[in-house]
Amino acid sequence: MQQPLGEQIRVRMDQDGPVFTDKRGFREAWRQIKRDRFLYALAALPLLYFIIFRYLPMVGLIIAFQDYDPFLGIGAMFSLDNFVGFKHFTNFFDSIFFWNVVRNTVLISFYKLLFGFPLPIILALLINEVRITLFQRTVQTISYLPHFFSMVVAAGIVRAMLTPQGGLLNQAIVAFGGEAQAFLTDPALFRSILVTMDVWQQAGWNSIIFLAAMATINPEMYEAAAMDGANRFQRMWYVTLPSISFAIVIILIFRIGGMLDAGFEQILLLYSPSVYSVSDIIDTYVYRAGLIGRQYSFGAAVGLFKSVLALGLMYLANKVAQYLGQEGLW
Amino acid sequence: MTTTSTPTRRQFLQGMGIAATGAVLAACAAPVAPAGGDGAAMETPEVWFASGNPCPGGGDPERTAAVQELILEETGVMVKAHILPPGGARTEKLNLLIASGTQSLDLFTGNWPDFKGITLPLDDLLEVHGTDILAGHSDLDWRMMKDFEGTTWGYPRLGLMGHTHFPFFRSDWLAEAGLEVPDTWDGMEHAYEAMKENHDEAVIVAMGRRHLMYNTLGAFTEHGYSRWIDPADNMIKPPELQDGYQDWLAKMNEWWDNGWLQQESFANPDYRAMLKTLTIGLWLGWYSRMTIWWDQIRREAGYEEEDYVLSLKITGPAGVAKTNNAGSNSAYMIPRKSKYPEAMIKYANWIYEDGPDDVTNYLIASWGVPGEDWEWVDKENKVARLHSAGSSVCEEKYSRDFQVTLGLGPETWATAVKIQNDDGEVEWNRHWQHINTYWNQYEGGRMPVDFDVPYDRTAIRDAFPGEPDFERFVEEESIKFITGARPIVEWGNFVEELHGAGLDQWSELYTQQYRLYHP
Repeated sequence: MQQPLGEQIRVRMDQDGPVFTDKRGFREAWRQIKRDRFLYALAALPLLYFIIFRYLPMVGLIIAFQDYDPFLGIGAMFSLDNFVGFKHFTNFFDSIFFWNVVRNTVLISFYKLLFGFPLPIILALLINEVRITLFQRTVQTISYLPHFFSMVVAAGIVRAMLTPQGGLLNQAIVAFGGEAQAFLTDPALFRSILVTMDVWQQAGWNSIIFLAAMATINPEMYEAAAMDGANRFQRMWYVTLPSISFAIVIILIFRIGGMLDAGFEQILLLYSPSVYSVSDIIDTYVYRAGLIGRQYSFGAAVGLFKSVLALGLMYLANKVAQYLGQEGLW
Repeated sequence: MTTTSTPTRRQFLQGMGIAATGAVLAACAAPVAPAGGDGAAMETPEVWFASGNPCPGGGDPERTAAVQELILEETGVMVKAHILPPGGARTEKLNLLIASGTQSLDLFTGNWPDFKGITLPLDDLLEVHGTDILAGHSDLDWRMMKDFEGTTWGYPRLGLMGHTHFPFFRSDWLAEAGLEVPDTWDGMEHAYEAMKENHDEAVIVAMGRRHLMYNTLGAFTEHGYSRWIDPADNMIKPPELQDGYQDWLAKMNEWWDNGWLQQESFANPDYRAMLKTLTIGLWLGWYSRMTIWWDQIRREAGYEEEDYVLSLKITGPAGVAKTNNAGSNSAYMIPRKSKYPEAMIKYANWIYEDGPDDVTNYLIASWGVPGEDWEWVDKENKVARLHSAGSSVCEEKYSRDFQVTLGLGPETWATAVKIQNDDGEVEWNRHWQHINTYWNQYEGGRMPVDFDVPYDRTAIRDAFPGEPDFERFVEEESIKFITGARPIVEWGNFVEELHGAGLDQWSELYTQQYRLYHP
């Protein structure tokens, strides 16, 4: 049907043909929504989840710029009377612990990334090469298992292993003529314990995504490589790894974006005054100031500072990935 | 002919999607309060306590309900409890309850100056509804509940305590070494060395630096574990800057290097499990781990020989080692958000009502329904027998959810009650006896310089937001000095760092508050 000239301007071409942006276009859109209402209904639940639990709480960040008193109710959050600008941010930057918590957060995250990121790839490569199915599945199951322990249970296991009074490791040391050590109170060892525990708990689980990526590799590529004389290691290096590089980059970007999440629960459950200097991270600082010290606004300010840093890190990682010719997140 | 209409797969899934969406919306909706009207004026007041119950999961629900019913009959108040978890999570849960807009809360405990501004002043309420509470405590206790303007912010919970810190020695190991309970610092070290010689596994356990200081710092410094007034500038200073504190650190470092101090002394380990290992030669922690935990362990395991004995007074180079515990700000408080503050005070007053001559109400709140959970054996001498299970079996008894007075300090009329269990043994006998014997024996320890000053730490924190960091910095570095992670020769640098962390501001703010009470 011929459209009047004035209305034709509001038509744009789509791959399925012209899409009208006038009333008729909206009617068409509504018709499509009605037609796919089931799909929209399904999408509504996750959408609601994100709105209610992820976006609406962001309104609460406003208290980072106020002297907020929870007893004054939610209405007080929108009052200019409590507005203090960047006071809480300045207080955090002035804190004697500022550099310490930032350093610990970055270092612990970096070590976890350094050891915790390549190990699942190596584990996936090794599992992928195993040809005895029973053995392969057994190894996979055992490596996934620690992921399903709650952090409290996992920390309990680590404590029970390392305690100087009757801990398994110390019993072994004493049996071989050594002296029991308080590993968890030794600042020189604490970060290593955190990283080791993290790798133990997550390496198996994190290898799944790489195994899934490997499953999509065309077997003919391996056959061609074998015909060209490539040995197993060379096939892993020249076929498997390049084929899963997209997954590696995406996961790396996510890991870098979440790099400031250095493991709040894990550290809270394992640290003590003896090792605060090497283990106190931004999250434990927020917990102490906000939930224990009831400095809610200060805690919110520190948390917001961390989130902004994390966003910057993710943006940076994405840019670097694109610069290196990989697909980024956006 | 009957036709049946079977929904298509698509219709079914559509229905499911709509139902699920509706369920989520309904779940997210605010709860609807019951209609008010005339009936609202007649409603039973329901008061909620933040209960530091020794049974984390609560007790037998049936027994708890029976106690609730009895209290309702007696007072017209329905009592309920939020049970706080043990350890660090306790503070977190309490703060969430205080800040929550949906959870009711009518009573909680803590140091009242830390909560000033979020609690109700109690003067008028106590005057009208709490006359027995007022009569139940000493003038000093009440002075500790008031700010410098004379407003009362809570009713007393602990009072000044002389009974919380003593060195406990393994009595059988002392006897084995042919030693008496020591009363000097050298004697204490000698006793420990002798125990260690006979039992290589013997360790000293301190439960962190704070308890270690309560038990030992007075042996090396003039004021013990107390803020003090520096004569040089007449300002309040932290305990760590006293003359002698370095000597104490050096001595503790020596203990650490010798392997005397248990390696997890500053790491919040499981002390109950540690007590069970029978390796503790000298206990320098909180008293109730001995009077309750150890006593339970000993009785349950049937130990005959193994036990601990306390030393009343250890004297060191600078005098008495112990510092009395000025827990004097510890209070029961009513938050501003309380719906029924009058009912709350009425209930608390009911517990005090008959004391000290008749403590039945106190026992109802503590142990349950008379005749069902307990009964008098000898009322005149305050001996009662429990019908329910012993104190270590939480799920089979009423577990003190509604006890809103602790029975410490001048309230010893309450702790003097002897509660027998089924075997005729007195429950917590060692614990109550310990409290009743030592709570007011202050001469065995140093009195903190500012024991009668309820510092308003909220005001201090508002003026000096870095105050919590300052306190923590002192704690962290002191532990480093003890464990040798930082050599004692760096003490001068540490003091400089303290200045950088706000020592002068800290000192000025504490002095200002001190002067409000001591002009």
